[in-house]
Amino acid sequence: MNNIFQKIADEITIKADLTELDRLRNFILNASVALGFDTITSNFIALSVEEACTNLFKHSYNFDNSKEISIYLCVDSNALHIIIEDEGPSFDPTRLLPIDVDHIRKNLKKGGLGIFLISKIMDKILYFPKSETNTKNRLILIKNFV
Amino acid sequence: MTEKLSISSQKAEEQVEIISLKGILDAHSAPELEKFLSDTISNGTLYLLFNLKELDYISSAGLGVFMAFIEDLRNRGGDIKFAELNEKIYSIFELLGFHLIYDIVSTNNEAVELFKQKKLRTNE
Repeated sequence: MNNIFQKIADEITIKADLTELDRLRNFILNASVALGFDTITSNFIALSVEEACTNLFKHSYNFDNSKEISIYLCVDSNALHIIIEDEGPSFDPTRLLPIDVDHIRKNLKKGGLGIFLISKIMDKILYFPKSETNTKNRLILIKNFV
Repeated sequence: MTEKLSISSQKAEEQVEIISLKGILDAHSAPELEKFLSDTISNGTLYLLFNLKELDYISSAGLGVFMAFIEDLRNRGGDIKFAELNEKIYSIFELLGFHLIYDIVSTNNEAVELFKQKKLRTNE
């Protein structure tokens, strides 16, 4: 990963396979609790990362489990930054925001629930598509410590 | 398929099924619940109560399973209710506003009574 953050607290690489979700969830949960987030917030953070990765499995990698996603946890004094890197076609999920959740609820549509959850949980979402200098797409989820 | 989600059900009365979920309901285990519900509804059940006391985790894929069935059930006079949500699960329902569109009750008995009343009204 390019050094946009000085300090990577932890990292994990998973295959684009639904059987990897337990390992991913436990990794994020344990790291969030260790950083001082309460249980409910840690569960929310794990949910956000899982939703982001499940979307990538499905839409970016078409469940091709030879593909991988790398997740880096970086911290500064204010926040946890979760950097999710993939090599699939670029797609900025923040383009789907804001989502009219009333519409989802009333019409019982499943699509968009994941990114809606992420947007409700995280304080900031950034997306950097791959480019000539960076071969990976990068989604950054930021959760403030307070 | 996977053992991380345990599904157990019992018939409370005619057309009313109490389904207890235990473990993890995510994109990996959601198809298992979807198949189970599809079979249960095919067998004539119109009223589903999910007891979520021992459910540790739910993601949008899990929530999507309930969404996939509720419209059809309500159109046929049925419904879905939830009982005994723990704090982790309730917080996710609340985040999505699902507590506004689904009945969440404290106990299985409470839900079964409500279903009985609804059945009586439907059959009047």
